[in-house]
Amino acid sequence: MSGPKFSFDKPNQYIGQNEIRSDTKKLLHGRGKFVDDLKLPRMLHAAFYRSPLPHAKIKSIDATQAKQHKGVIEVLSGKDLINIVKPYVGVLSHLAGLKSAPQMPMATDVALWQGEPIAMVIAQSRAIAEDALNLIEVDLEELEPIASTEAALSNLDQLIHPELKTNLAWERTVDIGDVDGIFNDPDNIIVERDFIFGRHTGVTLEARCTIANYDASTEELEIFYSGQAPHMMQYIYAKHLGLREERVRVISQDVGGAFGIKVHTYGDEIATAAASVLLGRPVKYVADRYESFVSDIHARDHTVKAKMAISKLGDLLAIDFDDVTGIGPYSMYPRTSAIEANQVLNLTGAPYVLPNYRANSKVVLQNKNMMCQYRAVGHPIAMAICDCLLDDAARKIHMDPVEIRRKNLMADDSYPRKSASGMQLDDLSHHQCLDKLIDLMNYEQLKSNRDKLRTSGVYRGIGFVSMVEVTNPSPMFYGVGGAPIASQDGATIRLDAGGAVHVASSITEQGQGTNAIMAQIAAGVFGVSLDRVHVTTGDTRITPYGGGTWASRGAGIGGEATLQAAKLLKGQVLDVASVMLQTSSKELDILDGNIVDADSLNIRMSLSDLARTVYYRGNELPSDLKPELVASHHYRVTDTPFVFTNGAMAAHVEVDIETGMVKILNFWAVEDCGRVINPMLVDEQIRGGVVQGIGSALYEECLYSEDGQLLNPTMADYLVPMASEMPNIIVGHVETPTKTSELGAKGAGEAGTGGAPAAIINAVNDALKPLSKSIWQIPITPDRLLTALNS
Amino acid sequence: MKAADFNYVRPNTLEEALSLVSKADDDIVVMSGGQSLIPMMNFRLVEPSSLIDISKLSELQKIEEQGNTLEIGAGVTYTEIEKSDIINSKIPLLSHVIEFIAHSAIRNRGTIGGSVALADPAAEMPAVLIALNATVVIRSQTEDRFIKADEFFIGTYETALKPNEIVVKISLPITEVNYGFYEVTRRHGDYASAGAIITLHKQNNFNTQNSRVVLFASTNKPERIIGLEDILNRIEPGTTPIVNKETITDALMNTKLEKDLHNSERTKFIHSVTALKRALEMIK
Amino acid sequence: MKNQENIELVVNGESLTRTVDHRRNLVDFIRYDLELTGTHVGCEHGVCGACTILVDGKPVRGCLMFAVQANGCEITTLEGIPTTGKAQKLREAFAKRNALQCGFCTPGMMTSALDYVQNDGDPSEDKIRKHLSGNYCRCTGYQSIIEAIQDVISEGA
Repeated sequence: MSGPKFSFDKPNQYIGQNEIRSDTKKLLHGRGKFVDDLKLPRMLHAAFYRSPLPHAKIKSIDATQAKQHKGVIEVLSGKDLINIVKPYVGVLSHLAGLKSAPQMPMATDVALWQGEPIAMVIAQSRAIAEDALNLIEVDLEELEPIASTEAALSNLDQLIHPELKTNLAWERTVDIGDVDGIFNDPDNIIVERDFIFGRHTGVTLEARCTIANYDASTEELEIFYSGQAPHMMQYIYAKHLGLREERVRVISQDVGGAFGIKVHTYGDEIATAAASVLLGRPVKYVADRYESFVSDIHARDHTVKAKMAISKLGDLLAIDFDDVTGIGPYSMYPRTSAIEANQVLNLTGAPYVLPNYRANSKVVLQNKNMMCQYRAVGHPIAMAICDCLLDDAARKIHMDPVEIRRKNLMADDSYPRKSASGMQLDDLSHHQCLDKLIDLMNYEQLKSNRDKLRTSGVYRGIGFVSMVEVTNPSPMFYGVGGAPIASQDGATIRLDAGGAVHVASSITEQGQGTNAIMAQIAAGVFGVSLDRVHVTTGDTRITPYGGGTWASRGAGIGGEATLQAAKLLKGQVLDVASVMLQTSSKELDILDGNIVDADSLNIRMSLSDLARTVYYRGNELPSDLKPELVASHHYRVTDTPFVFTNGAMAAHVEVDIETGMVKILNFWAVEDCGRVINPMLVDEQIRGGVVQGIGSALYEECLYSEDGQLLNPTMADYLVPMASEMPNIIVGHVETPTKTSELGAKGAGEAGTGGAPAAIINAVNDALKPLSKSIWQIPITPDRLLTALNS
Repeated sequence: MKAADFNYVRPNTLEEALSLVSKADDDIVVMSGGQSLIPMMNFRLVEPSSLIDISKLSELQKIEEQGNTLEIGAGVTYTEIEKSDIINSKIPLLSHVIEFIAHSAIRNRGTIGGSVALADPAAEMPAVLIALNATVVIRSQTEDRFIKADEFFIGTYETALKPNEIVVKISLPITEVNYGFYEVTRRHGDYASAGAIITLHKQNNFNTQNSRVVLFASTNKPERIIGLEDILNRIEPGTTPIVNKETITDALMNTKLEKDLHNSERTKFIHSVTALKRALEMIK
Repeated sequence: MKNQENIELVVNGESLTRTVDHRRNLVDFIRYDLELTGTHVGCEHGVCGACTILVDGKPVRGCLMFAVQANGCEITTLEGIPTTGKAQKLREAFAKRNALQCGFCTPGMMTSALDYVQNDGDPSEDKIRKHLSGNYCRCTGYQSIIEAIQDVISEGA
């Protein structure tokens, strides 16, 4: 039985407050514990020989000289792992028809992308291992690369995996209403565009790295993991190395950025673990920056032919598109590389009333690096297809882009309802966000400045996006398809003798503030000051079993588990207090580390007195009292497959038509992510996400030659957003709590990245309007913009 | 990406350094600031057996006014140039371009001599030195050579420097110069897509003879655009030059431009025209 | 031993003597040989700025120097940046503005920021952004970092 009802408006609540994260202290003193900071006794270092060719038969590998090199302990080829590692296949049953082939950590017979590991050296140091790589003699027979998706789909005799009989890994069509009827109606206004979304990648500043430490005496494998989903990796290491799951421990401490890059299964990491098992010693592998570019998952390679029909009065009637995406030679395990395409199909048009919708996506195998989930999976493409065509259509009928959105966005009071693609939507606030956005950006003034400057040859543009974001996924996202991915998470909260509170949560931290949010919730709900709460995350042996942090689920799912656990513990503590104080627990509360009278707030006893009595002096308690100063709660979303959030964003740009360069002058984002636990952390997630979106819109691209060679695997040639070019990003909040939990928090991690590209494309096309030019490919490079201007 | 093994040698004097390179061995590489060399070594694109570190040779670190020239030691860093009072007052163009070169941590170690010896087509220093009619002073064990910047830079990473020689200083004439500088670059500090430096040597007020128009980054070495120099040199005193997009486009007709990973030849052309136009606009 | 030598240097105020391979770069030396893991490695070609440390008081890329070149030098890493004065004010401002998320760029970012504020850097946003343009951050979007630096400059004014 619990005490006074929990309320978000109580003083010392912490929820909704800009508390400074306690994690900043160690990081500001250089005391973080990132994987490469760790040294284990007798630890060895791995380096990989990677295929220089995108498609090649491995005829032979001669490691004799390499093995003899001073300091080299072992050299392993792909074939050496056949008896140690079970292959994995990236398919899930709920993505019907998805085909992929079994994959080994290192190529065994055929290398299928430039950068695929072929052999590994384990040595006393990374430098020595790299020396030995040069001594391995690999005989490769070059095979015809199937690099482009066109080639992959049209050449039926050139198959990446002959046994699959096709290069088409997956295809799905959505067909709602009467799309053909709408497009055939001569009264309707049609816009049609070919979009190209450039393949790019995450570029986490801390590259992927792993330490695998196998103890043969106990048959236990310990993994120090720079990643997002420790329990998932525990399952994967156990299954594919033939170990008992409970004998695998995965520990994630400080992680230098993840963004979805670090939630996948990488052959070099599995091979590192296999090497440790073989050698019975710790083995460390740190990807260098070149390796990151050729082997971290890429994302967002889509070619889309799309059209939209609106009425003469601006009603959105239909969207129809064909999407082709190339995912590399395998579908990534275990989340599959079909999810991004699936999201594009599911999310296009979702903010709007859209009566007719048809979309087809083809997911294609090819000889390039693998592609999979990266921050805002699919959203940038989905939001761009709809919102960029919408602005194109608005221009055609001379309607203001804000007006056309007001006409067609789902009404704020019309929920629950479904999107055209069948997504369940609730608690959204598109209109409220748009209103707030217009206000924040002073739209009318901005427009009149833009128009005035046009007369003097200065081309500025304003572009909008109204978007939804998938957060807090339920088991319907992965688990239902057979993936070992937890969609529920738990928190265990414990009162210690000194009055401190420990929270162990199965959500993980990569800098977004997971630890801080759990602490704020626990402190506020339970009743101690924030600095008395310590949070442990990222250790499969210590925390509850759960999913980790991805798909913007940390605050919503982990937060709810923590909230309920804190409530439970509070009830348990007040039960004990009521016996000790001979007062009904209904008349007591916990505030600032003390048991207090609920009405007068007089202190009755400190938590630590209570705890010490329970722990040390049980003799003072009645023998029928069984105090339990620890509580756990697990939470999953059950009402809907996902909890959607929404946002409205705008970009204000200036296009230099003499150079083709785009300068982003301002950016605004109004986001409704439900209950906000720490506004500063949400703002930061939005801003960081927007900058990543700007990266994809203007700078970032994995440039491949026609025959599948990655041409820009360095930070000098792959351009990431740096400080000088980035705008100030003004963030506004609307809070519509989700009904799916008491906390009411949705996710906020990916919205910026999902929406910014559409807003920027729209802003650039608005700037180019007086010149009657437009561009439909990102990144919008000077070269592409000049080509569009001169077309 | 760890460098391959090598033997590190730090000579204490320039004499010693010159003796070490006198063998003209390809495996012996001289390092000044190392800011371009060490990345190449980390990628194992360059694997010297011997690395000669000349970064601490005091003979190469002086900045001295000698009559009507300024002598800058090859080992002077970009930051030292930026902060040098004498360079700021006598040859401000040189310190002006420093802020466009990479970032401060790189500039604290990168040197003018290193930039000259490497001859990256997108580097600012070689172009500035041509614009300022500088002389590159090269030394071997047996002789000193004085080569005009015009003739020193031959192609991409190709100069008149021989394997047994070291660049020891840059000699710049001290004259009053009106200049314009513009780089077309996507991010601050990046190598430009195209850059232009224009100098008008002030004599008798508006007499603009000896103008120099240098285009770099879109070419395989900094190129003087003679057509534009001619126009600028023919300007009557008291008038302003008529140099617009058309004249610039004409003047570039015979200049060989190089495409790169991100920019087609056509884009390089457009960027070159823009860089020249905006460099000119900077000149008062 | 071949291609190795002894170096003497001062790191975070402590005098040290070590034997290093010639090819050992400075940031690897600091991280692995001295076990000062506060400085991070992001690219090993001088672009990302994660390895930025102070050498004789000036910011330098630790990946673009060999340890043997640091003989006779004074190195300061984030662990050795003072906990008083402007440096500590900078830390507090970073924490208050949440100018760090994952913390991986933070050592290089703090070093560059400290160099700026200690040399009377201009409070203009544009100039601060230019100064930081050699430090890559993927998490924050940079704005909070600029604001933290402006806080320190305006406080000290």
